[in-house]
Amino acid sequence: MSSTENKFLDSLSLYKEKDSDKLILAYKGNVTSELLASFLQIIELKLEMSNEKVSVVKKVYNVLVEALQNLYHHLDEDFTVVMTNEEKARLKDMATLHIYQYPDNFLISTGNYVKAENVDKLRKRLEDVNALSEERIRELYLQTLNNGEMSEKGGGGLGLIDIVRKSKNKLDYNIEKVNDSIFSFCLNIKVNRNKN
Amino acid sequence: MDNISLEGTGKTPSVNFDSSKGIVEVKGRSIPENSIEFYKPLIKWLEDYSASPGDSTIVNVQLEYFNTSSSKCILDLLKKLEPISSKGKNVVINWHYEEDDEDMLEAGEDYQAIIKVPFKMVPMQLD
Repeated sequence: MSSTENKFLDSLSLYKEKDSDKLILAYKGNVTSELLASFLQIIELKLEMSNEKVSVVKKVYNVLVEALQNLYHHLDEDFTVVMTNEEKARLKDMATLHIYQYPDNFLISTGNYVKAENVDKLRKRLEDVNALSEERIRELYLQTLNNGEMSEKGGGGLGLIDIVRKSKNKLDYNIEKVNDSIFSFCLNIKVNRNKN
Repeated sequence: MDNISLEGTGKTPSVNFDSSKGIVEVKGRSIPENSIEFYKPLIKWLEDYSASPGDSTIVNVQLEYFNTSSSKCILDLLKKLEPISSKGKNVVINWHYEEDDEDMLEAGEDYQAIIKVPFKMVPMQLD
């Protein structure tokens, strides 16, 4: 991330200063179930007021639910054991969110921290999903849906697949090293405003 | 067996399970962070119901949104209906979707591809 993009809110997710007039929601802080509900409500009301097509509102809402719940489920790991005091201060708020409304698409950008030991797995997951055709994405969704596996937190390994399937766009992401133990992870999801 | 009747919330759907009428309804939004807790008693209810079902069972799924955490639970729920058909009783899943919501139609087709129970796709007019 460039220094310009990093200025606003010391953001992990994508902040584009030149596009600040397109920004419809910006957040930095912890992620709780109540906060997720509030973000969703804000976006739903804003899109309804802007006369966005119902099908687009639904897509944005669905993709946002998955993106936020990805954050929610992956934020509870204890990073503090591997941090210096300076890093603790910097990483106090563990997630950021930016949502832009462009003429042709919405851009949902989330940012959070990832333990170094999980980075290779995450990168592989993102690249694997991005490599698949629309048809293969559906096959993988069905296969994963029906594999009978569910984590204790209620995740089923479907979040990223569902985001790609519904947004019909590849995942754009940026993973950067903070220190030997921690990396930042920024995920950018585009949802088209005009039906393909 | 006791019926289940739940009001919908911002994150969980309304539920109406009525064994004497053979009605199974789930409507609204299903987007809890962890859906297992919510769906567990519903899955158990259907399992018990399917052991001695009525002559005719009508299942209405009318979801506005559901997240991927719910999607596996919904699969488990609907799979519990499979024994009803094999007992020679009638059962149909009416999958409702808003007419221009292709994602919800596709989601219904996903379940249709996996679950061995007759599905009917029901488009709904927008207001």
